[in-house]
Amino acid sequence: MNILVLKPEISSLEIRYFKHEEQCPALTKKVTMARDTDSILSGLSKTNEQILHTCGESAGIELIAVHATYGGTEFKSPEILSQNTLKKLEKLLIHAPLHTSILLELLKCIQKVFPQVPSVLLFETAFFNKLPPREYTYAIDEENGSTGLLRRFGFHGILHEAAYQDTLTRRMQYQHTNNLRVLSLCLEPQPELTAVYNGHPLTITSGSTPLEGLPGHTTCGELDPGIIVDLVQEKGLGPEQINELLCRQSGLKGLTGEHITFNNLFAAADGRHRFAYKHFFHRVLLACGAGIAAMGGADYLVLSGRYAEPGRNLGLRLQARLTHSLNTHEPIALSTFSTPVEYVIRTLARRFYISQKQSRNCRELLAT
Amino acid sequence: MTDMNILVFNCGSSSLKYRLINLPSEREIAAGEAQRIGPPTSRPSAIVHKCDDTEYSREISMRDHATAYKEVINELTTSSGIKPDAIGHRLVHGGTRFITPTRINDSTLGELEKIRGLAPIHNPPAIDLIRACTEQSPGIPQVAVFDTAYHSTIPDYAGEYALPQNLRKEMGYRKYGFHGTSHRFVVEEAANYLGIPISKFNAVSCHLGSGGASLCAVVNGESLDNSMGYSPLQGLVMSTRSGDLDPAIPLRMLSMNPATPTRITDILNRRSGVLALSGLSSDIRDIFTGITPNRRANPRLQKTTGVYLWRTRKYLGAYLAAVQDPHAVVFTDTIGETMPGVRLALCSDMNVFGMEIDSAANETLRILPADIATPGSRVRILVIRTNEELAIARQSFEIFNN
Repeated sequence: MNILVLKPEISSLEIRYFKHEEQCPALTKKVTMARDTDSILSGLSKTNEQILHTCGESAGIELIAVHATYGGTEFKSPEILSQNTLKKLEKLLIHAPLHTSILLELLKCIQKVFPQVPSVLLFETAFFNKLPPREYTYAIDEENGSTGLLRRFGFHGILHEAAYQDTLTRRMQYQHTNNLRVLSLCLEPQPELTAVYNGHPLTITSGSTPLEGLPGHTTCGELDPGIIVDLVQEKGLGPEQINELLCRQSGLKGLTGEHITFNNLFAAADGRHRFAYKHFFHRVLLACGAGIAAMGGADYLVLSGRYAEPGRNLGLRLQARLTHSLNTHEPIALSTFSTPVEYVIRTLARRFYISQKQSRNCRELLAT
Repeated sequence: MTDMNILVFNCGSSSLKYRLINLPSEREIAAGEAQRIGPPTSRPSAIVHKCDDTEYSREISMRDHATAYKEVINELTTSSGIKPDAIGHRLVHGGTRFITPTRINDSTLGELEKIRGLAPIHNPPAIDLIRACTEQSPGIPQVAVFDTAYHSTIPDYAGEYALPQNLRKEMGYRKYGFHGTSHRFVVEEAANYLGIPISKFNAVSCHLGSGGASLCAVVNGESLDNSMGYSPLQGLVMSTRSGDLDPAIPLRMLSMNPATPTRITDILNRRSGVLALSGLSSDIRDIFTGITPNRRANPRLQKTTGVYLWRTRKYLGAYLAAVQDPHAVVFTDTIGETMPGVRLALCSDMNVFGMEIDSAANETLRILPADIATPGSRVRILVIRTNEELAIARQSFEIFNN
């Protein structure tokens, strides 16, 4: 199946085109776009032309996979795009106005440019609809907070779930898989860790946004809520300035004073970036401990995301530290799930579409 | 070593708790509380005083803490005939300036004024009281003991936030941690109970009060991390405090109502936590009372206890992992000392950390201190009554004897 994978960002669109079952995309590009309909339409049309020109008429797009971030509690699984999808997304505008409005614009443009091509939406938050209430609930009165849906989500659910399934599959080859307990650490620019027990997430470091939890490239991670008010009262900062500070000036950048990635951090763990590395290690260690308490133990620590391979040493240190702390006969196993997320999206979208089509065919057959 | 009668003050915004303790014997001579200090309220100000086995209440107008101090000294002189040899003060927040118990003199009094704003409800009345004591009793030496001081050993990698360095330095944004006096006290008591030198003692200390609560990771007798942070707002679910919260939430609240940071502080500190979750009470004991095995519980109350216990359990696991070789988990303060259901929920199914709770011992616990772990548990589970006033008296005595 020829699949076009789209990932909308705030001011750009990532595009990958996979021909049939080829491993590598035949086309990869990132289109900078203004957030208006004409700009998106133009971007998509040009992409379509480019695919046909580069790959030939037979390379027509057969399925579109849209990699979306926030689906709230409306989207608990993948969904084939329909008018009902758009209505459900409109309900999310109050909770995530920026991301949702961009997604809605993109979907409407997809319907115009590719009217005959089915689209599957996959949401990073969908997996975390399985979080138990004791984990996702904040101890704040929603009415007083008045900020819309106040609960924790995770924002790398696609990779976490894929990493868990991959671990499960490999374990099935030599051992029983009842009650598999996985600490899944997704090392992306905004990293997060979840404890997954028997396929269900029990803990998550992220919050109602990816800002909470582990520090990222430029995001602050955990922070005393009192500091936010203090920044207004003592420094006279406004909400936009605070947002800029916490989202784009903090994290590894705040700790080191430099624009660095996790690649740079792990490469200089014992040298130049020692302090930032120790800070990050401590935060991840605490999250692991919390996850182990939630699950009553852990069988695997799995790293995923674009920094999973560079983070292998981090994983080894965590594994050693946790194994020393714990009262178990078997050490926590360490593994890496290196498949890039866009590949996972391609596979999941195809699988979902085919299963939906087969279900529909069955229903039609039974109806006749 | 000279015998001393040390008067310990624990100052609230409209109250003044006190205990007169003899060191080194640690015998309590008298105790009490001056209540409703300040402007007139629906009930009159009073001193509730306890000496030997007698307790009584005396109404007397106390417009400020200076007046309350004078009345306390009068009460002590009248009831026990004893004047204090020294005074120990509890201060909640010492910032980075005060990391050890500090003798009061003109210089330190000036320095104390600079930390007045760090804990705006607690520090100002305590500092005003110190001034009153200096003016009214210039011959009585004083020591200030800070709740944050014990946590001054939290290493930078654990104590710093991932904010720009210049901001952290300028604004002092780091984890200070709180309940330090209590954590230090119970950790020392626990090490003593188990016969382990404090310099080699590792533990997780759980100060679970009916109001505030915090956990402390302890390595070699020193604080490694504390669940509270820059302010007492961070960390666990508390009676009216939210605990951990996505920074985007208060930020969004500000965006919706930019002129009300005070209102947001009020919501997060006084109208969140157990109170917000339950809609019924800020005291978790009331919530547990509303849930019994034999009758159908209100789902909202069950959710409240679920969130409360889960957050605490995760922190316990986090700190057990950070401490690496814990000798003990220590429970203290109102909830930690008196609620076996809470201890059981936090400690059960924690064999992976080498910890096993003895359910029967836990349930029937009456006398403290006690060890409620099974004999085979590598990590002991201790329940120890906190005594912040005694801790302050001990630290003050140490200062005067050195």
